[in-house]
Amino acid sequence: MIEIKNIKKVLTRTSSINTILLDDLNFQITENLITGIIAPQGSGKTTLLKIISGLEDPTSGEINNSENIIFIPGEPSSFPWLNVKENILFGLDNNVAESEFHDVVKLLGLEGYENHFPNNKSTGFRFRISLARSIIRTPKLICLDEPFDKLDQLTKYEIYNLILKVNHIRRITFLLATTNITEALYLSKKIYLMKKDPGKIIGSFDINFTKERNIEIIDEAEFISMRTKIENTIKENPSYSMINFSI
Amino acid sequence: MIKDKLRLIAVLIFVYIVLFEFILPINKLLPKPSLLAESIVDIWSDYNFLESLASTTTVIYLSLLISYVTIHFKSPYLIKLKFELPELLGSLKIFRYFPAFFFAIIFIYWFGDSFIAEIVFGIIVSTLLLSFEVINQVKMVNNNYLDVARNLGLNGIRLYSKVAYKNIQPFIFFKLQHIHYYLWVLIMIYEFVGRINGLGGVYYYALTYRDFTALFSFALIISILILLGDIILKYINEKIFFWE
Repeated sequence: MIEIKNIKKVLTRTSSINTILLDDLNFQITENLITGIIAPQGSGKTTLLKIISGLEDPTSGEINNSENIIFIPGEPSSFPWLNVKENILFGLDNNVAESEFHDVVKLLGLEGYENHFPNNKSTGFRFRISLARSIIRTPKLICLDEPFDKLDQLTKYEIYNLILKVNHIRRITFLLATTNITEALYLSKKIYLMKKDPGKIIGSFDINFTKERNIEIIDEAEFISMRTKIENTIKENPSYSMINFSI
Repeated sequence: MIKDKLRLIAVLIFVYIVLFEFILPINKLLPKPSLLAESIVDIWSDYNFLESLASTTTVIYLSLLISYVTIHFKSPYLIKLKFELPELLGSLKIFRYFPAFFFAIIFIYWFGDSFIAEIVFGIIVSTLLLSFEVINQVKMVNNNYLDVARNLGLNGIRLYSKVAYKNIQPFIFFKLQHIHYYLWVLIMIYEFVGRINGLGGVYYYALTYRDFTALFSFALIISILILLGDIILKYINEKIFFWE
């Protein structure tokens, strides 16, 4: 379990006015599961994920068990000057068995594209590369920072199912930060709600659907009921106005 | 599109031939086409054009090559400096406003008729212009790429050479295309002012002899050379730096 303890982030502006972005954030990420954080835009989701991945320092607080955490930003982050294979093996100095590479490529649906360049390819394709590059490192946690925003509806579900598959087959833990309730519900086993000004956890939900997670589940009563429950909690807090209630 | 362009060029040539061969054969605007054709053949012996051409093109393309290779290897350090000490490099931008012509005069004053000095001048000018472009492009580096690379374990100069520089490399090479034309002009001014062996020097003598037709013949050959250089640079840019 990865524990986020009392994380606080204070931003100092040029005018010397301090803004508290994140305040006393506490939550746990259970291993092998997908955890979701639903938060409004501008609440500090990206900063939080960067702190968890070690890319930024918190003003105070700590994260235990924080080695080998991979961060995937919202924008496409596969390097366009490297081909798929070079992207996946980036920084590994070829210390990966060929069989492992092929397994990852096959799992992510990139077989046959090893020599293709991500330049001018779809966002979905570039996300697959980022995911392959992450899972080949057998990380303790992959942080996803709203990576589905620019995907069309069909690709979104393909990628959702791919993440569920990777989580199931490779037992990789994910932390998904999003403004989209349906997306978080579809993927996560545990959801935290975070408010803004300052960013703080205000509620959590355990998500256990009786039915298998596929595209039909979003019309099921248990899914709708859970969504309504989350929406009602959100409506009680005015800072949630930026959340996308639809898919 | 290409057909339209060729058609336009053909029309312009036709108008030029009709107008200046038959209607206005004696004028101070453009030379008579038949004289121009003769001159293109004669300049090679009259002005020792081949040697001058070889000299100028060597200076230009050697300068471009050396400056690009220098920037290729030194850019990561420049980018690192720009990230870590942005104000220091920002203040160097003041040199952008110095006319390059001034540096040409100073070089001629210091070193006179020296081929090596001319090459050094070309290298300094193109390296400085490329360096300014690197400094300028640092703000265009995609921070997501840097974050991801740092997260994957890259740091220090490797982060700047393998990610930041690669990210802006197409823009740097694109700038080289601009510098290519700029250097042609500047080196010819350098040679013209210093009466140095080269195309600029040849221009100086053609002007002294009031050889009206030769001035146009040189321009025609030089523009074809610049065009060829530009096509080659564009081709390299499209084939090698495709991720722009």
